[in-house]
Amino acid sequence: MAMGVPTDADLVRRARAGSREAAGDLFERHWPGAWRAARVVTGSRAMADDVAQDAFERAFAALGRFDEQRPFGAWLHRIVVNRSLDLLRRERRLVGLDSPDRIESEWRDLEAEDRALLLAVESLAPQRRVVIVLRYGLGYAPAEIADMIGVPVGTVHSRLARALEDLRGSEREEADVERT
Amino acid sequence: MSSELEQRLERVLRGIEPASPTTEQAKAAALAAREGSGLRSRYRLALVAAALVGALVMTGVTLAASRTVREVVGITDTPPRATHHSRLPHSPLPPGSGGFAAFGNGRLWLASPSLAIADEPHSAAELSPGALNIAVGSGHALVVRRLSDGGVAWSHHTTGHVVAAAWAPIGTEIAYVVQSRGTAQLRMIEGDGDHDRLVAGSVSAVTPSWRADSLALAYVSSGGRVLVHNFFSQKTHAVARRQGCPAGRATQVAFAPRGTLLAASIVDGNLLVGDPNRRPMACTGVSAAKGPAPPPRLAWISGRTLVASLFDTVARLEVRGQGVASVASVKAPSGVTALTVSPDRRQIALGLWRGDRLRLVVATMPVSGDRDLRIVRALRSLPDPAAGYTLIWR
Repeated sequence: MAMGVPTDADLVRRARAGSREAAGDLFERHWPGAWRAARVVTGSRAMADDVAQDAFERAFAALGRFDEQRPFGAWLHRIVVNRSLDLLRRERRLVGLDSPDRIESEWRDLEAEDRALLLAVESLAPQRRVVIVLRYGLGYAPAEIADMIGVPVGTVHSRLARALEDLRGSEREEADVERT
Repeated sequence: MSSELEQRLERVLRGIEPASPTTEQAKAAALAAREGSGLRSRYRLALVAAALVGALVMTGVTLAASRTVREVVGITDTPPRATHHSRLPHSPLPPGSGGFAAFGNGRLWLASPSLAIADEPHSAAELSPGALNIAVGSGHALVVRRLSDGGVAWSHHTTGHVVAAAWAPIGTEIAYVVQSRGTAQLRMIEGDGDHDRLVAGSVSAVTPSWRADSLALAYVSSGGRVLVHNFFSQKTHAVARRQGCPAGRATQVAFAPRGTLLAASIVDGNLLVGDPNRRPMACTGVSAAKGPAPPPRLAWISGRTLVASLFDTVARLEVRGQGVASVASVKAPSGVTALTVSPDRRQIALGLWRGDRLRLVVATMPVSGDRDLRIVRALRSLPDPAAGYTLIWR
């Protein structure tokens, strides 16, 4: 009989009962998304490494207090976003984001158009980067995002709309530059 | 319906992937955090159970001794066996290392082949020679745990919080500083937890340092002076400084791993170095920069050479005759706030301040001609870089 893929709730339950394998599976399942969210919000690979790792450490250390009825991914991503914004608030004064050259080099394998889009996302205000990565990078619905970051769903919609408008503006500017 | 821009965003953003070494490191840390949390909670449970058993004993249950009671009900003083994963560093310890610990702001991280500790609250920490045991300050007690299984070897009640501890190189004694009601005492206890006695009644909360032969102990008085207590003669004397050396409190003292040389950190990036029994100590600056600066960090490499850091400068110094010469000076990528030398004396471990994190790295020993610090391995990052971390590598 084929075994079904365990749900997050199954893995959380087993991890809490002491299963290292289940905790490892939970990590494998959610690490890419957590790192992606941290990478987009912080704008820095190094900061993303720290934030995502720190979020997992916090989440796993608090697994015993986690409400199994709630989605683990949303809980984890909420920690990631909050930690990213906290870090950004403090670190911005000291080191700033990765330089455009460094970002260019990190994403040199992408098509120029896609690279330009990522650079445009990098230049959005942090709160707009948050909704963009949660919506398009992780696939959350606006209502889920609202619940996750603690704002009304209307605010999520308006942030998304403004972020998309900013990105379209950036693309228009790119096109204008290429024409001149 | 999604616009073309939204579809591109989905495709491009979902293609962002972390690097695999980062993933492995983070996975080890996450699993360690889960196990550490479980271990702590099971330990708390054991303590509660032990307290209940203790109450039963007090109410007349006829069992001879609490040790017997705990054995009968299956509770021991030994916490559950810890994970085999080394949490700090995440990758295996370098050959010849028995343990690596980072302690700062009342939190302890430890990696060893058999015991790992992540972010545990303690007031002090020290690894024994050969990394067989770890001594920690826990509440009003000095507790020694075995690294082999994490079990408590012994626990000694103290009058206050233990704020510093230093294991004698021969392993038979521990000097420790206990702070109570605003004053700190320097005390000493045998390695098996017996024969606790007072060494000095008014000291600073600075880790004392044993001479290589374990017959003398350097410490910092409450006024900031460097003192040396000789256990053979039972006499204590203040270390003299050469004329022209800056005054000011010492913040770190360290005897060389061989011989009798002593070094101490003082204000404005200066070190005192010399044999405290022979002549006044010489002073030297770690970097050429003048002006206000914090005391440097220092660690001995051999009987006559040491490494010291100030801001982002890491210097290798050598004692020559009555003076001290800089033989190499390199730049770290950011400020260095913690420093130690590997057991084989070939590498150094540093804490580099980056943003609101302290990044622990291993680097090669600076050699003449080097301009930049050569980092050979990143360990992990820790919170609160201003916490004044102590790194212990055995």
